Amino acid sequence: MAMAAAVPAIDLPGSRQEPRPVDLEVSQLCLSWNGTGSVIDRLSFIVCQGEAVALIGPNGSGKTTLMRLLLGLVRPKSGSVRLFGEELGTLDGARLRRLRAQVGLISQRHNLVPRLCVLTNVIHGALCRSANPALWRQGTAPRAVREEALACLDRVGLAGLAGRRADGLSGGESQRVAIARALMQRPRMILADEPVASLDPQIAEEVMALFAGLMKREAITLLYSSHSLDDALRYSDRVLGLNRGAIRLDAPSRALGRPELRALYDE
Amino acid sequence: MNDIQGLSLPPRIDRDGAWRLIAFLSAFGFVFWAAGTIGFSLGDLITGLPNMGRILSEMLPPDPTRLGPIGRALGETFLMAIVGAALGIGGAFALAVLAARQLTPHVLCYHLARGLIGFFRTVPDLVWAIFFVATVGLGPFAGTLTIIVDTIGFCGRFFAEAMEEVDPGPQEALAALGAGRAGLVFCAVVPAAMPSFINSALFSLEKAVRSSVILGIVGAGGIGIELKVAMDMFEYSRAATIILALFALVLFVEHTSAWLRRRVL
Repeated sequence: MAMAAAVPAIDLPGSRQEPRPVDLEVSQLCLSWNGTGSVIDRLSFIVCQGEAVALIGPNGSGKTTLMRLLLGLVRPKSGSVRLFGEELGTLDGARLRRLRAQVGLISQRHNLVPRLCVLTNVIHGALCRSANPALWRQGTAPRAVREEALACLDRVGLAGLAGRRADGLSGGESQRVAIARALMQRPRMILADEPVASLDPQIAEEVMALFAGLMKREAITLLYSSHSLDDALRYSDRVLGLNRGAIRLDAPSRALGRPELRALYDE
Repeated sequence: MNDIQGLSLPPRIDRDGAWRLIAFLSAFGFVFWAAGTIGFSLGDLITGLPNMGRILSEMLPPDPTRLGPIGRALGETFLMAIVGAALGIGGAFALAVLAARQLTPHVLCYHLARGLIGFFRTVPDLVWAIFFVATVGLGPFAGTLTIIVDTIGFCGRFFAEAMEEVDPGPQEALAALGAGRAGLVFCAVVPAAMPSFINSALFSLEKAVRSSVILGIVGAGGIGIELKVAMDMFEYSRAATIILALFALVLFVEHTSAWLRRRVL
């Protein structure tokens, strides 16, 4: 394992595998707000296809900002982000939207539309493929889309709540609906920003296990940030440690233990 | 006696307080001056009281002989209000999307839409009515156009503010997955702002009914002209019937709108 500086991933003995295609390549990424100190400081890493990568670091270390940079929601000061081989900085609005459509974003706050029903919220995931106004409400959506949305809900165990209003759901249910909405995108990659941080520990564990299991089974590349060191070790193939906007740790999770991750917070 | 040697009490009126007092006294003085300038006179009011009593006594009992034409004019007033408010609400929504900071396609559109809404709102409805009577002629169409413009001014601002105030989270989520602007507006913003839309729309309907009464006075259709003619001809008992009919209509609309508000929100 490596600490204190940006380092390449470490090969453990016997861990050599066939090289996988790179889904995400971040190179020398820098960002600062209005000339103040760097929020993201010369950050470089890759995420391979089908890999699950945990992003950990103390509050204010730049995890959420990094997620927004990776989707092109914030423009970097310098450096590059290549997503599925395409350089984000060179894309116009329409091409950027097409690229984003392949990436599901799950955030801590679920961000469901509260007054709409669960099935409509899931169907909104299909807006990435089509701007058809019929997709705005489940009542007008084509049968195939409604069935696909119901199947996504079934994958997160909530098919029975399809008709319920989103603001009547518990925190755990809301997050599972958000996962179903991301699945409706048929994504190649999912970015999850502290996906279970707002849930109580038991529900958080259930949702995280379901989420990580789904990503593994469906071979979806996953980059998730978390404050739970156990979650980082349990559900990821690799851990990226971020502090003060720079990578301080990049190592396979099976080579790490809690003390190494803990050290990141003690710097 | 308390021992407060070495301590100092704050001034009774601090610097800001003194300015506030001066501002208050100036405003009070201005209102007095303005009342004098426009000829506001309690004496005239008292002298006019017997006239008021006479007119009120002549209003009773209300004259029911022209209920048919009054009913038709009242129906026309109500329809003007409904059509004007409905079209105005539609126009207000379209302008409000352009006038909502996070949805507007360009800052120029934002300022243009805000300016237009502000203009529609600040020009009084009677002025619009005179303008439309002069351009499209006497009758309910001029009144309906007036209500449309007035409703756009009233609802446009509230709709835009309601859209700006909705939780940005769902919008960000849909933007991140690649939804277009129309998708963001109709999937994330409109459902969240709907309670506020409904509230403003119902208030605008109440307002439209009340203002459609007045518009008839300048020839823009509705029951207002009936009221004006009755008052001009000193037929106060007929005027009383019209006023009672108007009261019933406004009460009906307000109660219906309150019921809808309870049901929908």
